[in-house]
Amino acid sequence: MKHHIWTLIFLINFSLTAQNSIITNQEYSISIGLADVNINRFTLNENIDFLNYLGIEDDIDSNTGYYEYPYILVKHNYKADLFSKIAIDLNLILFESLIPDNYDVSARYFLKPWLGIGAGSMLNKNWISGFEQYHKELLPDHYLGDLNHKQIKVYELGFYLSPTFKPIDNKNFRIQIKCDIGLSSFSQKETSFNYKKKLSNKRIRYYYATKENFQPYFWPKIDAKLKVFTIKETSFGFVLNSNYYYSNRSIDYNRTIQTWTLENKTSTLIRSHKHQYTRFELNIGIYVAW
Amino acid sequence: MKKEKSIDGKKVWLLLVLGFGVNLFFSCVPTEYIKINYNKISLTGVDNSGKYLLDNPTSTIHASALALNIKLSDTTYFNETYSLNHLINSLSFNKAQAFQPADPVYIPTAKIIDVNVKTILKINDNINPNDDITEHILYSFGGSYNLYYNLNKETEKITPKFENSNYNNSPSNSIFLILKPTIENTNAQFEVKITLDNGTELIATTELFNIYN
Repeated sequence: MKHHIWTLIFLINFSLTAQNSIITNQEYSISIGLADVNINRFTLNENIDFLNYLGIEDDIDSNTGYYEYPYILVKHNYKADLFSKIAIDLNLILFESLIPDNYDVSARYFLKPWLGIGAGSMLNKNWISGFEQYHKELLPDHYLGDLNHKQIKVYELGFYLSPTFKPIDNKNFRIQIKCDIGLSSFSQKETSFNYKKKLSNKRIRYYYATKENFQPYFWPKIDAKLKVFTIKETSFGFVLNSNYYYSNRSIDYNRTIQTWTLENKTSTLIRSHKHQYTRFELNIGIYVAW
Repeated sequence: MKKEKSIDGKKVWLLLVLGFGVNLFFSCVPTEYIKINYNKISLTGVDNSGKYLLDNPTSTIHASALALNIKLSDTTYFNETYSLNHLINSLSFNKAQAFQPADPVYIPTAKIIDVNVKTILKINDNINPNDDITEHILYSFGGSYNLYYNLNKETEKITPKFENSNYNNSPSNSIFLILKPTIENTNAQFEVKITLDNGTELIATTELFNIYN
């Protein structure tokens, strides 16, 4: 009985609010920016560590071994308020390839106009490049079958909770600070290397299958919006946002070494070192709100 | 002058039309499927000490890198028929496909059910003359760095591979036999027997190989 009463109260409230528009304060923005990814790397050891090769290599840096240059991003953002207290925030992010395969979507409930709590999901693309270098040096008395530069694309899928603060929110200017705290994992990938021993018939295959492993991350974000002019009920202006992603993570994997034939194999679960992985982003753009 | 030019022009057009007609005629010849029966086996030695396993016959082979190239063929579909089909293909239009199927297609009717290898000379302290060494032999189709197959456990995979579109455009097919143990002798020689499911047994003996370290 109690359950039916609460259902009725919810439906009454819903029909009252439906008198006004359910979706309000809609906003679309497009921004362009840079994302600078940094990861601390370890010296080579007996097992390959895929996170040592995260990022796109350019000129080889003698200290770090790799040089990362910032990624260029284009971000499409849509925001709206639902039922006045719920805010949705949808981001579609494109890298230089302009393939829309990164996102950050969330919904927030504002307990007070300046304080809210949200939940969301994100997907970030990363490249792991040049890891064939490890195998070129691993077995010097063997020929490596494929000497080509190797690159695999790994997606980081995350889910988070996000307390949100709006210290300033008026008609002309808004600042919103969010602090995403979540768990994320790199997608599963497979790769292999084939060898033939010099002066021998022997062939060896190293087969790697990475494992999904959700690990914590911390991602504070700040958004600023400045209105420039209004035409009737539509306003235009600039947006600026910045964020800093921090995580301590590893990519563990199953390594299978097959010698002579596929059946003659040994498999080992390799747990890699945790790397400090950070990403700083800065975007600037324009918005239209209605 | 103008009349001569007109006659020359007509001759050119006539040649072009004739050429097109010939190409069209031979292109319309349907793909021929020819059933073959292996009736010949030939064996050559291969030194697999380098980077790739290639069909480069040699009688001087590294002690840890001995391989044998076995070529199975049906001699009834060789030379003249092969040359004729090649001629037909050259007179036809190139097919507008990313992958051009073999033409004609040779399908072996009898499957290989057993491959047996015997050493004629001593290999090491554990392998003596006339020993059956099939369990020490692996096989490969050559070229890539893919791992080998077990000869005494995966013989049934050989014939289907020959029927595959990359391998069925010739009345002969070959595989490489790979010797796993190192030869502790200065010479080596082998006998190979292949049994087909129609009862045919094809036997051949290799030449005497010189082994180096």
